[in-house]
Amino acid sequence: MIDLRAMKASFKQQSIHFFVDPQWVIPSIIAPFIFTTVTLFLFRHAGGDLLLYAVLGGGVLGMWGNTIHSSSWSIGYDRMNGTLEAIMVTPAPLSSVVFGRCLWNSFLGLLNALAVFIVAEFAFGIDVTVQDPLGFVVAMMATLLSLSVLGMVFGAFYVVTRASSAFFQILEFPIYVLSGAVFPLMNLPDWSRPFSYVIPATWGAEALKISTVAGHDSMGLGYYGALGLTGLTTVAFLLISLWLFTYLEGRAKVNGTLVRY
Amino acid sequence: MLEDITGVKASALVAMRSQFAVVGPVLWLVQILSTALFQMWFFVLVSDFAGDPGATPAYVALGNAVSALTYSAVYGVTMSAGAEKHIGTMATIMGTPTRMFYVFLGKGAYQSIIGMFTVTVSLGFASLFFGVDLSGANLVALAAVLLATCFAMVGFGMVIGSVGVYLRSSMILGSIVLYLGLLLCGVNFPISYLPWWLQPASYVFPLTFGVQAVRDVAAGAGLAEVAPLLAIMLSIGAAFFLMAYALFNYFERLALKRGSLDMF
Repeated sequence: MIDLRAMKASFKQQSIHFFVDPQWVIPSIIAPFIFTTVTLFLFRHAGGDLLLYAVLGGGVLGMWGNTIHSSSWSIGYDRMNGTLEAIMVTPAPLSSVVFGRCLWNSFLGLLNALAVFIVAEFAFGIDVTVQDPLGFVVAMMATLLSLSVLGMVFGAFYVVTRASSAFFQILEFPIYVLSGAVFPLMNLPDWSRPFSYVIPATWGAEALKISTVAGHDSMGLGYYGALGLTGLTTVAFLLISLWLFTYLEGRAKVNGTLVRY
Repeated sequence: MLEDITGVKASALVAMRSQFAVVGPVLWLVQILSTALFQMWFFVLVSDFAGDPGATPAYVALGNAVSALTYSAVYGVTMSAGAEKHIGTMATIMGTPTRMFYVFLGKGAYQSIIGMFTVTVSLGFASLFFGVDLSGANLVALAAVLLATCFAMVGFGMVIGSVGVYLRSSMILGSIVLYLGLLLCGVNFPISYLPWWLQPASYVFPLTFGVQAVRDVAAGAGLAEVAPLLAIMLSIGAAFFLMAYALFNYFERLALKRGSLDMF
């Protein structure tokens, strides 16, 4: 299970790493920021709620960009720096350590959301008014948590591979597309929608839009329905990630390939 | 001279071998194809939803197909100096008789091959899945335009990468140039959409000319019609290589003088 103390310590240590060397967060926020800005240019004729749609979606992209970056690199850097063995022989479960790091980096993704809001407000003149501020904050936190958990699922695989940089690139863009963060899911082909439905960010983004855009409810679920599905998929991915960490950690130790680089 | 050519060739071979030593060929292929496809698909879906007649899905798909060159030709080259520093091999490189410029020229040559492969696959995706009509394109003109774009972009990447010899990391610069092209170079929407004060910045990027030339060729232009754009790309490409040569020498000296070689 998750060791809250280890998670908290890992969260704190990751934040210290960030303040010591903040440049590492930049690469992971540039892509979603540019993607959202391009989207705003493409939506500029549409105006109104569509622009707000892009802004909210951009925030989700930012959180995901940071999460996948941290989950893929956290183990990768430990392997390169020779600290992976030390972490794995501590009593704290590796999953809790990675979860803490993912949470911090998803949290930093909020900076991206903030940057997008500022650009939207001042450069594009979009009125970013939230209809339900409390619902928005809850949905934002739920989305942040769900993305961290999804990052953990992928992070588990990096214990047994040294190609984390490749996986980072492979996994970043599909979530941008499949979550339907900046366009309705109905624009995606039928065959791809089941993939979208199992991604927590899809429901998190939907809850965010419902709480912000007046009259928006593209899936007919309502705010609590979307939030509930965010929670459900998050719990499912959390359980999967915990099982994966246990299994793959054991496999890495048996194979003796932990710090092979 | 012969020593330099040998250095370029050896560096290109090492770049290829080291790439496949960490990421196997199958995973590497998945990485290249999925990144190109999903990035294109994302912007195609956005443009489809936005319904802007000036930036149709086919327009966006073609722009993204050409911009796929950036991953290798600019980002790959830019990151190479920083990567050597990161894994602690920069001092070894600087201790060899081959000047640093030629070492990174070899890496750039390898990235050019990867870039040409990526852009060819991306154009295939654009044509197969996203309604880009290349049936009227003059293939010789298309090949010439892509080669000239790749040449100019590798030169651009080497200029940016040379700074990585001195800086703590080239990751930030690499990431910025990787994605800025999507915003500034007419990849996803016409440059005229940008604020007037930002438009001149578009013409610093060789990708701007490459995207325009490919759009012209796709619309039926021949080699003669795109010759001015080709000339611009070859000229700025040559200028970038000269600048990279001077910058690599300068930063090489500066890094040695200040002892910042392995600073990380």
